[in-house]
Amino acid sequence: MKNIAVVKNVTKWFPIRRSITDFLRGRPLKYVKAVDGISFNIKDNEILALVGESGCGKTTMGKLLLGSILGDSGSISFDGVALSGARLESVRRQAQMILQDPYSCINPRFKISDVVAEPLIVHKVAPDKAERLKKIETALNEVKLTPADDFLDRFPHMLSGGQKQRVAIARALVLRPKLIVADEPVSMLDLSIRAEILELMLSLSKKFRIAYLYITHDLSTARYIADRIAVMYLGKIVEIGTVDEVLQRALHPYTKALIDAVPQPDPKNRLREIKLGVTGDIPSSVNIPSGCRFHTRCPYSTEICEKVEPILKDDLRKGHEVACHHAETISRN
Amino acid sequence: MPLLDVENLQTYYTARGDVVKAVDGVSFQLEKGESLGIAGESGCGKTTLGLSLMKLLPPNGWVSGGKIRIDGQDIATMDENRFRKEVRWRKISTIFQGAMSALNPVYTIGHQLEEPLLYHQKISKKDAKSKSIDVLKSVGMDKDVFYRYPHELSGGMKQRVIIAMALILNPKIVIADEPTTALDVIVQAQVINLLKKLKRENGLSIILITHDLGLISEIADKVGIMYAGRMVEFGSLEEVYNSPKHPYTDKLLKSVPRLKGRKRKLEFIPGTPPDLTNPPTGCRFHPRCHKVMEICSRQEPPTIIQKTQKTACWLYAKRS
Repeated sequence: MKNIAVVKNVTKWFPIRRSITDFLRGRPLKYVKAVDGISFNIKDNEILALVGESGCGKTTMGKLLLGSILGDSGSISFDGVALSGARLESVRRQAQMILQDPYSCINPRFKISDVVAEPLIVHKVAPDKAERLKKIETALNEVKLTPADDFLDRFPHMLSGGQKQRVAIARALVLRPKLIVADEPVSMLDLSIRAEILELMLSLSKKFRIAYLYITHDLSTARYIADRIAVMYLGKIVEIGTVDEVLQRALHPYTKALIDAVPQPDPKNRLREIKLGVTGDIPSSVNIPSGCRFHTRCPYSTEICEKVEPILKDDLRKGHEVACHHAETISRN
Repeated sequence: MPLLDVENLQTYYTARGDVVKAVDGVSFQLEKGESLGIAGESGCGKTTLGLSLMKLLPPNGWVSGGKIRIDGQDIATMDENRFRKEVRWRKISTIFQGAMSALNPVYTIGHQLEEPLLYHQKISKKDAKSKSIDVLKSVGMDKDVFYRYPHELSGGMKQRVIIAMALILNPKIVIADEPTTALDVIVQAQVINLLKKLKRENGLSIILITHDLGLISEIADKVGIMYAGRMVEFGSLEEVYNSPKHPYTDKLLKSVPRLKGRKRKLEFIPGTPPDLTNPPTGCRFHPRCHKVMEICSRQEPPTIIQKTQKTACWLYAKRS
């Protein structure tokens, strides 16, 4: 199967403004190393979940993939074409985004028809008004905002959170993109509605052969929707593989800690403590630990972990990559 | 005598000339040392329930009816001055939603911890300081946090401070409204373990208000499911999670994606929660219920008690 997106060694560092004293003393610039050397592929029509806690760089990676921000080094190619300043417009037609907050990502002064029309107008698709209207109605029907006529003239404040998110999806769909980057699309929605939106996204993916980069901190939702899952920590991918492989046979201590930490609805839970092998807090992305960046919190950490950064590789299990010096020991536990 | 006895509580708001019946006839009891989970989606009234118990409703809200008895004493009708002196923060305290922004940015943590102590107890500043440091330690924090300002702490640390503040006068009941929402997964687990420890070691009763059904199963002994201002199901954690009676509870549990175990297709509930200024007739859930019957739209269901599990649903009413 072809790759729709290929990411190679991408970095994105954000400089922090220096204080006057630091500047006068000639101290070097500090950076928030949001994305610090990431490589992965997304296959055609595949759903890849990018999971991690806040500050790990997943949202930045999503923006890099769309070309919203440009990386400092490395390469991103989309449908075989390298992403660079000049080719962005054609990429943006093929790659769209759905964000977390349905309340703030839709212009409150636009009618729903205008919201969904916007991408068509910007990319000069369907210049004929009637044709455009037809595409808008089709998109609204696809996200089950039916009858579409009912919704065209409404304003966002007249819709519920779930309905607004559907409008955001319709807007993302109307250009028939090959890739959608979805950043926490259901985390602000009620429980009983989340399932509906997830199912909608899944069925649209199958019907229109759309690949997703599904960004979330919620492992359970990632398991439900994704084919493969990549776990990020402090700007790097520490583990990547199929959902079953990574979640049932995790090899990285951080992945294991995340899996153990998520509360599941099980009455037996209150009878025991959550076992947490991990100590301490996430270090700042400005001062990334030496060697393996997870070593400061890792229960398996040894001397080599402090000195040498492990490489992401699938030597142990083909197709299941992990960046850990002790992956083999962990696989036997 | 139960520690907390809520009987037919009604809390309403006025909004733009309409009356919103946010909590409309909720009853439950909590024994000493027991913890309760109140689960429901947005608009179900769970936060209002918590605010009612603390008498911290906004100016447009009021308790219209019912009783709230803490250790036998009805606080619903108690005047504010007495409640502030005797009950709030001393017998019952709270950890608010988004509590991290509840810390005053211009005062040190120590100052904010001492404040309730100095207000409520005749103790010296020296004793207040040492007690504050004790409570910081009990939530797993270093004593130098006493001297810090809120902006110097991480999200997880701020949440621990909020928990410390809620505990400082040794209340019997702590209401925690979405205490872990803004926290990362691993920090959340640390906070959950802290709450478990407080439950175990101090016999604290925690009322956990959240939509996260997994979180509830970590802490609660009893669970109440709320929908549109009503409590539609109530029972022990095992009863409600393993054999839910109300169709809403059933669907809600099936709508949670699981991380472990067999992957199941998620269920969802069509439609949206009702407008509380004009709730549906009869059972408020009936427009979205997959087991709806004719009587459901006409009459409100009674609360039917089966052993220790209570459900407000016509499915379980005996045919008369």
